[in-house]
Amino acid sequence: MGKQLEVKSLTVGFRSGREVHNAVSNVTYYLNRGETLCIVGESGCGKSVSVSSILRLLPESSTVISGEILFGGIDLLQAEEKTLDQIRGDKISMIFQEPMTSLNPSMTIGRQLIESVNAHERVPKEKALDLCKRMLTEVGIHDAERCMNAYPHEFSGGMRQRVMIAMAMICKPEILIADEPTTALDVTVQAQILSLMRKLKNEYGTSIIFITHDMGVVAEMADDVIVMYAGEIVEKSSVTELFTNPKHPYTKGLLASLPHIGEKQNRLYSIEGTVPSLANMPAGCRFKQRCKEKCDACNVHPDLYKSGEGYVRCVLYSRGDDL
Amino acid sequence: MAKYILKRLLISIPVFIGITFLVFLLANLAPGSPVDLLSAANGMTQEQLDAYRTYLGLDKPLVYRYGIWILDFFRGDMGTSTAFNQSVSALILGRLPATLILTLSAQLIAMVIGIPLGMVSASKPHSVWDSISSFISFIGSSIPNFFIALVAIYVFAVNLGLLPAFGMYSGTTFTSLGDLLWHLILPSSMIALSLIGNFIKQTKGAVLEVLNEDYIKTAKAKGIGKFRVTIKHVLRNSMTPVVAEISTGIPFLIAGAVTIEKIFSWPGLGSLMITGINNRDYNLITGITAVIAIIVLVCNILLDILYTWLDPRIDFKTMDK
Repeated sequence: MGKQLEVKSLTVGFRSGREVHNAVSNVTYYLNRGETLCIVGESGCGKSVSVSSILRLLPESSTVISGEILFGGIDLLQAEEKTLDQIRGDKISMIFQEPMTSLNPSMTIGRQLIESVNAHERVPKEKALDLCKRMLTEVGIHDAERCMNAYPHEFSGGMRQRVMIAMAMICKPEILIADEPTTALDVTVQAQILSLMRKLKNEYGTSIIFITHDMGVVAEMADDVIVMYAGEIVEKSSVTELFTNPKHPYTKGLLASLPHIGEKQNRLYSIEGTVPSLANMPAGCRFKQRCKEKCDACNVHPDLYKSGEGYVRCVLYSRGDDL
Repeated sequence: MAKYILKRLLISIPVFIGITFLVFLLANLAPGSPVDLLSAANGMTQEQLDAYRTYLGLDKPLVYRYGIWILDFFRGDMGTSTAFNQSVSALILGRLPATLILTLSAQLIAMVIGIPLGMVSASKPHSVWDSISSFISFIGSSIPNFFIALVAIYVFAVNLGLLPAFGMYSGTTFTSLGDLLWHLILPSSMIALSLIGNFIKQTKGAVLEVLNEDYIKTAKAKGIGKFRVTIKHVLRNSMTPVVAEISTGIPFLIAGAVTIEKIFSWPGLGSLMITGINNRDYNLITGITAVIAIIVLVCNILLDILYTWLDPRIDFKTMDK
């Protein structure tokens, strides 16, 4: 155990004309060795942006990043491109939401895989090829030989996501960042991909940062959970705590909107209203307009208060008492 | 692939016949004929003129004459030039290399300068390079190239005396490659200038689009370095519209060559064509058009094959539709 990756007061803003709108504000968390951290939240809450800045994949000209991201004694936000390229794909790798568009359409899968190997390991070509084939077999592609010479468009979404995973895991990274890897897949394939990721995690001892908006996936994968809303962390806790004792009204809302098997429900619960836009963030608590438990104190921006094992950004927990 | 190419070649035949028929028609319908030119100059008798008209076959109906022309063409005979009194095919073969050298080098210059400029201005918007490329494409596409050519002759040949203003060689024939290149610089860069703008625009647009693709993010996340990402992932995938630009640009390239050849007295097909038009040399006009049409049609087939190499999602079956 121990902190493997630390994100400290990360703030990411996008330039829009002369203004800068913060998509992620003051986010602090860490990833423990060998654990899976899930980041949950609805579209536009800043979860993808916050993990894309770990490997500095956001367009530099249009983003303003501040804070610290510490990995192995290096602040990734200050590191040089060259240092980053030694970490990218080798120590920290990433898979993305859209398997259909995340592979280069004009390059064979074999060449895309071998490119990762060559970037980080000095091995003869034969050995690299062998490694690629073994990795493809490991992610459940039976005809690895043929797959190596095929182009991405010859594969289904699920198969492509397997290729993406093979590509990400081929250098045995310490951390895998998975940005909604199952969102674009259908449910049966989703389950296969999740169990594949769990298998590889155990085999390679990789820590995972898993982004999703699917609470079912959270329950399946997570050790710790971060709930984000409008660019901020609103709740941090272990997965059991989150499901048994959710604290923030937003988390409660998210859990209440899950369908339950066996219960007769006419209409699924939904949180009223919409997420405030980046350009027009309300003062005070960012969730107050949609919150059922709001009070006058919500007009002051709440801190992240410690509550039990976790943390919650809600004035109701400001005195540390568990409700 | 062989089947696809064969099919394309077969489709090209009616296109070719259409083009040559149209040009044949236009050349013949234009006022004046070789016979008229002769009578004005030499004061010949009416009988002599009639005999010449019959000798040239101009007394036959137009469509009949075209029929004769196309049948002869497929037998490898493009007739005799009235202006030069030589076989058209010999004339064209003699001039073709000069035009190919000029147009290919112009195309090459335009690509070698235009594509990198387009890439840089896409990846570094508002940089110095972006401004430079906007300026070049503005100049190239808004000022007619015969005007820039005259300015360039005035500056580089007349005032500075750096480059020759006309001809292909210093003497009458080829002496050295250096001499040829020295003569080539001005005319080919004048043609290139009018093409560069489109290459910059097409490349910039395509690169901007590709840079936003998910697979570029994947490539960056692999840690293969910026250079490799650019060359292996961005460049290759943004070349399809650039190839399209080449194939739509070929006719303009040749049209540009016609005026530039005339200005620089470049002994190519373009200046031959102008002589042909001035002398109402029907066989020569139609013959040159036929050769240019064949070049354009063949280039288009070759570029289609290049597409399938650039983007494996395109295959010959989908291109048929």
